[in-house]
Formats: sequence, structure tokens, C-alpha cells
Amino acid sequence: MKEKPLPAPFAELMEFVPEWALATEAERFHQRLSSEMATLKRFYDALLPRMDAICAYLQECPLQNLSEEARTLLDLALSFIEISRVFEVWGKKDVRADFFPPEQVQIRSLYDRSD
Amino acid sequence: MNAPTGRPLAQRYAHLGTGPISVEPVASPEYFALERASIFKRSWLIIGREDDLPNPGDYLVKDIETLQTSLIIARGEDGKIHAFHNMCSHRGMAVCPAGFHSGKRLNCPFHGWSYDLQGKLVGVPDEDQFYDLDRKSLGLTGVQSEVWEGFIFINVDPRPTESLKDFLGELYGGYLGYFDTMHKVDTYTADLRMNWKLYVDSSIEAYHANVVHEQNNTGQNQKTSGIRLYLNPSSVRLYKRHRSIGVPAGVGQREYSPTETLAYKYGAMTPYDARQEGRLLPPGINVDKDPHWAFDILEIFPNTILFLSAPMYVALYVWPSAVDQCKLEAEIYTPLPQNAAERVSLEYALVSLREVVREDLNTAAGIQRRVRSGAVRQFHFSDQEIAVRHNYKVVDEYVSAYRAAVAK
Repeated sequence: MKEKPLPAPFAELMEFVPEWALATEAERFHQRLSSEMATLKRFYDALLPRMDAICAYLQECPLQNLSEEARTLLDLALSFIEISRVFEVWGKKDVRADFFPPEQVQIRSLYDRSD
Repeated sequence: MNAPTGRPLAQRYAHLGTGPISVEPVASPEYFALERASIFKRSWLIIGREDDLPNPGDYLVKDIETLQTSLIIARGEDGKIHAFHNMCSHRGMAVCPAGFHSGKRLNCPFHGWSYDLQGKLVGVPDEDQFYDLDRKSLGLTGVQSEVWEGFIFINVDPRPTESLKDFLGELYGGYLGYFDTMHKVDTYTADLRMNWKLYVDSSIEAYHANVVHEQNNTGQNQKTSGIRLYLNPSSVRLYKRHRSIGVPAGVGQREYSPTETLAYKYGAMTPYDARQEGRLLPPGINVDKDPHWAFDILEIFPNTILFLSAPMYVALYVWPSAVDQCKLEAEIYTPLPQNAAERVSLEYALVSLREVVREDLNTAAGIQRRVRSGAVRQFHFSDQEIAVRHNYKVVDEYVSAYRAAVAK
């Protein structure tokens, strides 16, 4: 797998790139559901204090013309958004889904990539 | 707001009654067959957006089990939208596979009959082997189509009893231009094991939000605020067959979560933002121009649910195929984010919306699972749930009229 770089100010987050810099919304959703709570917590705790700086950086990056570094950072930030409710709202990995399991929904975002 | 005084909606809409409603309409295969014949095969139904077919030669092919057909929706050389049954006039083969396509001709894969995008039969191999073939009458079988606010509607009734304008009635002039400013950013689809009405019902009242969405940020968080969510009765509009409600925002004080705060700071895309005063919205949306308004839910009868807010709209289409089966297509439209931080903010709104929709789908699926037992034979609707009652009443008017006509 090709190494994806992060912008220099965020290099300390490199360890999360293989698992969390994902190309599609569906992958982020399923990564949330299939991860252990401890794994999610480690990612959440590492990103939360950096999210304001990440967004300030990304604010300077036009979406139509992203460098590979900025795109990787954006992918991490999107995964953070995907999991934030686990700790900020629900206290668990998912909403109630006993009658409508997550596999039954197909998600396609305009921003999904095939890489 | 506080709980409304009395039960004002039952007074305003006295014709809907107040008694219990039978579960038969979500349980009976016979009832569904009548709905299919009396409602779906005779109503104007949204099949897509004009934006989906930007250029002459673009066409969409969609299999619709609800209507027991497959449709071709094309932008012809004349620039107009045309709709046809996807069935060759020769021997009935499906002319095109499902999906989006572009081209000048539709060629049947059986014997090669070909049609232009206005449905005209333009090619018959070995035509002289036929007997008096009348090409003019052998175009693709047409389906009525009309456009409203960018939505393409079709009606498979060969002679619709009313125009789209009359069908939309009170809605027709209320949404001018609103849909044009936003783009499709996300789509969810699912095969649902439930009656189509159970999902339609789940969206059109706020009573359930106090429980089902207790922990999601639907303009409030009852878990932390302790304040219950009520619809303002003046926001509830029940029409001849369509219906609309306004969901209030900013009910009770609550602290924004860290990520929610961040989402607002860099883009404020969430539909549950109370800070929307001053935005120009057409007269049909937030009809009272209530400052404590989050979003409207508009149901275009029978199978379209629209969530309409200042920075986002969601279109949900429910396509039944049996009494306990339907397909959901949900499309989320917003202005396009310009920078990558706005994209992060947008994701907050998208995830929020997705999980709230999943909560409602879970509840509707849970009801369907129990309906088979026959243990509970009636639904009971409160004044706050009057729009759900309205749906059952409207559906039953169609079904009863059809039954009576067939019995004659």
C-alpha cells in the first residue's frame, strides 16, 4: 500500500492514517461499527484537541484542488466526524439498529473516491 | 414551545375524526393490491430531478416494481423530458438496462428494433418481412410526465384524471426556486421489510422524537434539556392529500458538543441550526416565518418525503412492492462546500441526518415485525400525530372509492 503523507504540522497523526484515511463514507461508517470501543477512543482522543487546527488548515484548501497531504488530512477529519457521536452523544458505537441492521443501507456520497 | 392547549388540530381538521385506525392497511396484502391499483398506478410520482438529465440524449432507465414496469425517462433532441415504458413494441423485450445512459437511439437487444429518444420507432431490420407494419403507431408506449420545481413526475395512468398542477394543489406555487440552489451530495438506498406507510408515518410527527431521537441533535436534546418537543399546531398543514409540518428549533437550553461547535464554526451546514432568521425562503417553507424553526417536513402524496431547511433538503422516496416490502431512496442536497473545512462541516450534517433516518427506519421495521402477530389491531393517534392519521384517511379514500367502483 502506498504511504499517504500528512501535512507537516499534523505528522504526529500518521499512525491513524492506514485505518482512518478512507476513501468513502461507507468505509468510514463500517470502520466505526467494526472497531473496538478502545480503538475508537484512542482515535477520538488524539484528534479532538487537533480538530480546530485541522479545520483552520483545511479552510485554506479549496476542495476542487486538494494536495495529497490535505486530502489525507481531510479523510482523517471525516472519520473523526463519523465517530464523534460515539463519545459526545450516544455513549455507544451506534444508534439502535436491532430491526434495521446497518448492512441493509447502501451509502453513496458525491465525494466517494475509488482509490 | 410548551404543550399546545387542548387538542386544536382535531378541531381544525374535524373531518379526520379522532377514533382508532385499523392496522389492516399495513398488514393486508389485499389492501396493498388496492393501493397499487388506486393510488400508485394513478398518481403523479417523482422519478428524478431534471438535473439528472442535463443534455439532449441523456436518459434514465428505472425498474419500478411498485408500478410493475420499467420506465425510460429521456431528454429528447427537442430538449424536453419524455417518459416511456421500457418495453419493445415488437415482442415486449426490455429495450434498455437500468441506469443512466446517453445516446441517440434505443436499440432493442432482441431483434434490433430501434427508437429515438422521443420514443419514435425509427428502425426495423428486415421490415419488408412484416405485414403492413404501421411504424407510426409502434413507438414506445408513452407515459405522462411533467416537471415541477425541477422534479420530474410521471403518471402511468394513460389518461390521468388531473394535471400535475391540480394534483399538487396548494403546494404548486409555494416553493419557487428553492430547490435550484442545491446539489445532490449523498444518497442512501435500502430494501426495507416494512409497509411503505410505516416509514412515511415516522417522519410526519414530532412526538416520537422525544424518545426515538432522544440522544440525537434534532434541534434539541431532551436527554439534557428535559424539555419536550411539540409541533406548533399552526405549522401543521393538512391538504387534500399532501401534508406539511414545521419542526421547531432551539427547544430548551443545551450545550453544543465539541464537534457540533466545530461544525458550526466552519460551515454551519446542519439543518437543526436555529440561527436561520433572515434567510429568504419561499412562502411554502416555514409558513409562519417562525424564528424558532428548524425545518419543514413536506409529504407529497403518496410516496415522497421532503425535509426542507435553509441550508439543506432531503428527498426520500418510498417504493412499495408488497404489503411488507419497499425500497427507500434518500437523496441529500446542499450548496456545495468550497473549501475542505466546509466539507468537514457538511459531513457532520450528513452523519447526523443518516443516523436519525436509521433510527426511524428501525422503529418502522420493528412495528412491521410485530404486525403479523395480530395482537394489536388498531393504531391510536394523538393531536400531535394528526398528520399520520391524515395519511391513513387519504389512502383509505382512494382505496374505498376504487373498491366501490370495482364492485359496480
